[in-house]
Amino acid sequence: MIRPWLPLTAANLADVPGALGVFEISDPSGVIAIEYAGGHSSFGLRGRLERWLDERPGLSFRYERTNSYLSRYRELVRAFENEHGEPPEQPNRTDQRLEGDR
Amino acid sequence: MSLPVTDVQRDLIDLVRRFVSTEIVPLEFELDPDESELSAPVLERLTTKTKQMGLYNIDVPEEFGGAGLDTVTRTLLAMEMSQHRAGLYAPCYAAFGQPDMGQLYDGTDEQKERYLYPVLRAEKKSFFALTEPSGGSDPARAIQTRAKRDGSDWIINGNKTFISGADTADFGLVFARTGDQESGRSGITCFIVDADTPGFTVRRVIHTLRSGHCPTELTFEDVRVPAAAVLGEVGQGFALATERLTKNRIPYAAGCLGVAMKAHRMAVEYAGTRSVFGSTLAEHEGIQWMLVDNEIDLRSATLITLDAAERADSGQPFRTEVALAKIVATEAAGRVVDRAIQIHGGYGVTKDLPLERWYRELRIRRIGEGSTETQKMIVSRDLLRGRYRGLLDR
Ligand SMILES: Cc1cc2nc3c(=O)[nH]c(=O)nc-3n(C[C@H](O)[C@H](O)[C@H](O)COP(=O)(O)OP(=O)(O)OC[C@H]3O[C@@H](n4cnc5c(N)ncnc54)[C@H](O)[C@@H]3O)c2cc1C
Repeated sequence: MIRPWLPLTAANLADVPGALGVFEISDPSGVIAIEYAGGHSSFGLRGRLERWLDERPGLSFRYERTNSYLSRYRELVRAFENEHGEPPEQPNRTDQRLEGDR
Repeated sequence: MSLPVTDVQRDLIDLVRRFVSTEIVPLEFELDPDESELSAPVLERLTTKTKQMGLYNIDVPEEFGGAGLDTVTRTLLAMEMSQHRAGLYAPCYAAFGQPDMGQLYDGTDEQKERYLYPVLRAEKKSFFALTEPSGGSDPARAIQTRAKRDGSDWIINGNKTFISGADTADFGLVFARTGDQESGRSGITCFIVDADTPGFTVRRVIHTLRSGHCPTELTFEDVRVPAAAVLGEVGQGFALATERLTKNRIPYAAGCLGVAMKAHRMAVEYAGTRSVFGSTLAEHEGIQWMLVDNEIDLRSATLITLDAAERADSGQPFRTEVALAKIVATEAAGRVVDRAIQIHGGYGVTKDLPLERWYRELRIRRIGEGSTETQKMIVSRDLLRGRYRGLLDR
């Protein structure tokens, strides 16, 4: 992803589009979650990112708009696994496949 | 040509139709509209049912523990299995078994133990690597990936592109040139390559219209495989690839028709309820004609596809019939879904309905598994060389 990291604040989220895409969440230890805003998400990337607002302080985010959100999401997770030997922590959700994307 | 549906086939069609409507469609209300996979527990629940139905591993011959269906029955069921949102590329999310890796039926006992049976038990995943950056339509000439002997081993070097599923696979069938570049089809050999072999890299994912699944680019740098990795005979890899590809094109064509049948039914229902200019859409001639065109496309493509299946079952050559079915089914299905979208207006292109996904994915079907143009070459070659026998001559 080439977009810069931004602090996860309500003001920064206001500028995020309600579009399909993928995003990463980080804390000072590094990337902790990779997710996508898919065809069911209300308000797309902005809606999905808003779920993280009250998760814990000190989080940052970056995102990418893409219609190929599923293949891009799987690519990012796999790249993370290749680099770190395990998937990201994903503290805020269960299997996105099971819960749909609402 | 008749449309032969026996009582047994009718029962099987009803069984699969019920499975799609009660087991698959409800899942899709929850899943992302582009999803192609189910979580392991959900898939296991479904495969338990297809095993009870005797239809697990639907493409596999009985001697390998599969359903052992004839091609006509398989084709009729393919038309049912694809009638849901993910149905084109992930019919019933593989609850009826993984896609056929039939080349492995020709393997040695050791190859079957190590690769075929684990695939049939859904313990291993595979990829099929024929296409290269130099072109996919004419692989016999285009393949530049080379395999050279080194003692009893082989060393593979080269690149492949558009290879589906290699990023999650355990092994793949890799077609490499073992003769010189002018050797054409007789210079190509099929190797089984484990994904953890040093020198094998999945270089990148290629994002396409199909978001749920993706092809990849592969690199082979001094990939060393033993002589036991050769599948079939040295120099016979091309025949191994094309023989299976030809037969697989029949259910492939049928899957397109299943999706189109569902889209057509949606269009008929919607046209009967949506009001415009004081009457339903269905009362306007412009819409009626679109529905009739859908009907013509579907009926003609279905008959041509079943004819190819019948021909394959008869033991006679069926290459021309399959090529015709592949062309007609993929092109007709694209037109039908396009018209269904038009009839649904704005809703047709939303992710609330499956039509937009079918529209995107059907576009790929005119290119993959032998493009429309290469299928036309097959038919014209047979026509012009006098090998082809028309319907009434047979
Ligand atoms: C999503 C996706 C998944 C795929 N998965 C796999 C896979 O798993 N394994 C694999 O091996 N390959 C795979 N492919 C590759 C696919 O088989 C090739 O894309 C296809 O064979 C066409 O090859 P090409 O793209 O190199 O086009 P080219 O061969 O470069 O052809 C370009 C265009 O010219 C047309 N053309 C070719 N010859 C003629 C002619 N004589 N006259 C007129 N027109 C002609 C073709 O039909 C095509 O439209 C996949 C492709 C896609 C898009």
